[in-house]
Amino acid sequence: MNPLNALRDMRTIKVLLTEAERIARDMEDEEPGAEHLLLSAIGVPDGAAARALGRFDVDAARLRSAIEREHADALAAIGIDAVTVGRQGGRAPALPVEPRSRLYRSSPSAQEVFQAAGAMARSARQRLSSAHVVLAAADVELGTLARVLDALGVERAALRDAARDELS
Amino acid sequence: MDRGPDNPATAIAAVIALRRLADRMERDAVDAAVAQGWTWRQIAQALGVTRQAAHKRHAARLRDRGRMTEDDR
Repeated sequence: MNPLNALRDMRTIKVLLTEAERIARDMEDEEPGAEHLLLSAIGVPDGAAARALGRFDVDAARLRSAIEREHADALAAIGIDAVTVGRQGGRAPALPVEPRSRLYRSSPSAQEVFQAAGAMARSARQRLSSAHVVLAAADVELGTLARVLDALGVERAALRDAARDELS
Repeated sequence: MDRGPDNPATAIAAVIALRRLADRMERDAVDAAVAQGWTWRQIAQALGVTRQAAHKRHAARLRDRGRMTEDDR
């Protein structure tokens, strides 16, 4: 890859990971997971992930509320109403991004999707695109992200096709 | 995906949501304790962790909001 493209990839990586961490903290999660990484991908300036998910009427706001609903539903399934438990004072401020850390923090689920996205870009000799994150996200079978995509009715094969269209 | 109660994925999703809720409740409780003048020693004792562990987990957030415990002052 030529140096200019490598530099652009580094910029994309920085945007993806920095924003995933900010979103996670805004949602009061201590580390970004795969679901936060996909939310971050929607905001990447190349617009590829936003267009691919847009085919399923999924934008950042809808994805984010589906994540919150997934957690609330999971608690409701065991008889816990998250709204009435412990949070009488309403929503707490977003968690700060710890300035001490220059390394990106992320959970194993986010790392897996991020690494798979990078591997797909490299093997296709393409610049890293937010569509690679969507492709990698479509392969996740279990966990919060998988459940959220199911709840949104996003069919994986169709999501892969939408992401591939962005890369062609 | 089968979302029935016998599916391990359903149980694990509940565990994830519970951890998330527990983390939020812990932060709220520690914030309230600090607002009431508790020390790190007291917070750690109540949480059943070391003072260092309690500090590591909560100090940055409290600092960000300009809050300190009695033993930080």
